[in-house]
Amino acid sequence: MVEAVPVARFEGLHARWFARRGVRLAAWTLWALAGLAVLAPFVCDARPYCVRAAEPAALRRGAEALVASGATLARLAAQSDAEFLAQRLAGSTWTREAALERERAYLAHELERLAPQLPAALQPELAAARSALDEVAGLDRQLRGLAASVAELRDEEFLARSEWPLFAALEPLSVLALGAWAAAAVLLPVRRPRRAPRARTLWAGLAGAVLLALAWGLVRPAGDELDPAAWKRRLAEPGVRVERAHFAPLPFHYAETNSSEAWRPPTWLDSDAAVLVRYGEPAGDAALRHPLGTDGLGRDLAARLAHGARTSLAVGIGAALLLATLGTLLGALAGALGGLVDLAISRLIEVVLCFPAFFLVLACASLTDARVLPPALFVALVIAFVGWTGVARLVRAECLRVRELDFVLVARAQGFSSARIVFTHILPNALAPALVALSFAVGSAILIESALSFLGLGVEVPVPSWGALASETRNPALWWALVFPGACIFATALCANVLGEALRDALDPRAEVGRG
Amino acid sequence: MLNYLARRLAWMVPTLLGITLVTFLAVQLSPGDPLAADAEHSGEQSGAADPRTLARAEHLLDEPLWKQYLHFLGPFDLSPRGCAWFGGDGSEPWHGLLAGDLGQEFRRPGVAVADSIAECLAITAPLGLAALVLMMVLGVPLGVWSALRRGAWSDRSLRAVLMALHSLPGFWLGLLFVLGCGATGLAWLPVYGLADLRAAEFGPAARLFDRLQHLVLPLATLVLPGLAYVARQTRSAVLEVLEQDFVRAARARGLPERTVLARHVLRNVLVPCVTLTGTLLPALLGGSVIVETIFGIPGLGQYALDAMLARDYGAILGVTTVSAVITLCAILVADLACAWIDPRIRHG
Repeated sequence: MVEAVPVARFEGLHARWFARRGVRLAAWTLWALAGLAVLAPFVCDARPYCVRAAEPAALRRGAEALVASGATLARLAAQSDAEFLAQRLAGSTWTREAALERERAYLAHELERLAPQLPAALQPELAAARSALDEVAGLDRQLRGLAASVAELRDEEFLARSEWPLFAALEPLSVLALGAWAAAAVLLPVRRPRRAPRARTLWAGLAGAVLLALAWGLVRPAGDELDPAAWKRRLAEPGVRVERAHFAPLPFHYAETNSSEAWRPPTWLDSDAAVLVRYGEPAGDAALRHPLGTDGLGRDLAARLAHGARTSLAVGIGAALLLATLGTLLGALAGALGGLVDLAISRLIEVVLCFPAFFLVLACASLTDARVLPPALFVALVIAFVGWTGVARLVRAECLRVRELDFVLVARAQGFSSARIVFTHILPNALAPALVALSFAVGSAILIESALSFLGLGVEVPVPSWGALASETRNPALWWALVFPGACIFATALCANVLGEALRDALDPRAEVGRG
Repeated sequence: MLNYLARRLAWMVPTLLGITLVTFLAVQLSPGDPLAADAEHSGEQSGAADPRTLARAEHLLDEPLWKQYLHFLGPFDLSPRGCAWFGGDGSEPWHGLLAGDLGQEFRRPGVAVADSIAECLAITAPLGLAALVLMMVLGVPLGVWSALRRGAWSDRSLRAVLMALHSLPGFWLGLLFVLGCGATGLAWLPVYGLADLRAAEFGPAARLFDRLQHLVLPLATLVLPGLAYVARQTRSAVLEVLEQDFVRAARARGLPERTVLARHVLRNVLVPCVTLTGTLLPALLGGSVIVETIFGIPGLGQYALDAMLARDYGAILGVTTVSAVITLCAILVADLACAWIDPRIRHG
């Protein structure tokens, strides 16, 4: 049996691809830019990694609220259903049972919160109140007693509680991305590579990332907060005893506004300006407080850039993958099957090619409702639908060439089905141009996405993409808001293009032509 | 040659139909309704005499999709005031693309889309053509020069520069120009509009100079990324030809290098260059959106963007169709030129 001819071009591809120093530099730069996206949730956040603090004032207030809540519970328990219905607000659909249940859940939650911060002396009283939750009878009295005891406690008698707010907000997906990103470093050589990295190493790294993410999903501390700056505010309140607080290197959330720091230029440029430390922010190094400046709402640009990398790279890489898959499939069908299929697909390619691609993208992006799909996926789809023609044409031409080669004839003579011939014989041998087009497509997709965002038609998510960041102002005096995001887009596109060109040279049998 | 032209023209028909269909579907299948958006605000006055209801009927917005497409395609007007054969009152029998009519704008009733587009094209077309010419005039020689000096440091550094230019986000380049050359930067060049506000008072020479000054930055923003693309494509085309046997044969016959280059290499590079010119046009039209937005030029790109943001179906359909037809014609002309240059194509 003659199976598919081994694809000789892929032998030693890695060594040829990364032979030049510039290409290795581009690969590492791209890796670092991806690192911006991967590391953003770990290093740019307003939540501290670890906090050990006691909040006497808040606890006393909470204990007082317990009394009111207990009274409500007692009243509800004493009422009949008819009385409850007569009292409830017009338009309300509450039943007495639901109200009771809710009050009880609130009490349980508050007691749970209180438990680790009360000294041992008060624990029996707390335990009694908890167990009394089910039979309502003596609860009211017990809660009163508890509140009185809490009110009598001195500030230093409250126990400090340890929490890990930043880790609690980390999603397992971020951990997976971190692992995959670290594993990808295996592929990137520092010196001129002799042999390709073992695939086993890469797979082991990826598997490790998946396991790590799963494990994180299991042990992840509970809790997430809508207001990321709440921690700073809470730690700065009077009467809070902070024993330990470790903040991230860039202690700002990407959506954290600060009206007194609007449009600050990069702080290392005007370190003379007053450092405005809010809340419990670590004063740190004043010159590096906002290394890339802030935007019009006082949000830290570096944090926004790092989080924006997630959107931009996801759209860029996602669009390129979609585009290459679609183009390869259609191109292979057209090239390998020929006949009417070829005619139809070729016409389709011609139609799509005739449109100013950007007009079509604009039309799709402006007219379609983003609520149906996740916005990032939607923009990627739009870019892919318009951009697949280039890949399809390349793959079609390559398939037409490969189709005439002897090994395909042999396969046909052996009576293989045409699907088998297309997918196991022709396609693997015609994939080289698709691979090259894929890496070029990453660059162009990022450029298109940024242009869309610039016109206000890009991804609309709380995390802005680089394009949206670069177009926040047209005022030349606020240069940092324009220069840094644009430089990120430029660097990403440049690196992707350099890698694509190197890949093309490495795959091209006449590689000597392109090499300098 | 005539045979080839006839074949190409015949193939254009299904492509054109496909273009109209894709445009139409892209616009119509998208959610939202250009005339329903305000209907909620108007509230009670949605009687038969409401202008909005009339407009809906006139644009067939409540009719099935195929009917709307036929109405858009023409040549018969299917609306209530249209052709008598299809139940209209016969006051406007002709409508649609086949009748050479692009319809009216939705957001400004009574304004013909064709007029607006012609107005915008008068601005965008010279700009785009100038950009195209500049790209080819600068890009092709750069590509050839780079290919001939293959491997030298000058070639390598030029390739690096071209690669960087090719990866520049167009809008960022434009904004950087505004940043650097605008009033707050070096204040060298005007960065807004096509002419000075007081241009009407200038003499003819001063007005021309003013116009040229205003064009420098938009043109640079359009040309630089495209220039890199042209030069890179030309370079690889030249390298490909240099590999061919007939070049080696010409050299072996002892022809001077100049003759080899002019007679054998460059003439063969002409074909890919001409094809490239045809395919650059859609990219240029797309790029005009960005450039015109940044530099405040009221051209076709700006018009298209406004139409899309306002969901003006009439204008969107008009702009997309016109630009697709322009592109199609450009590709046709480029292909004809190729066939004229290279007999192998017209017989192949």
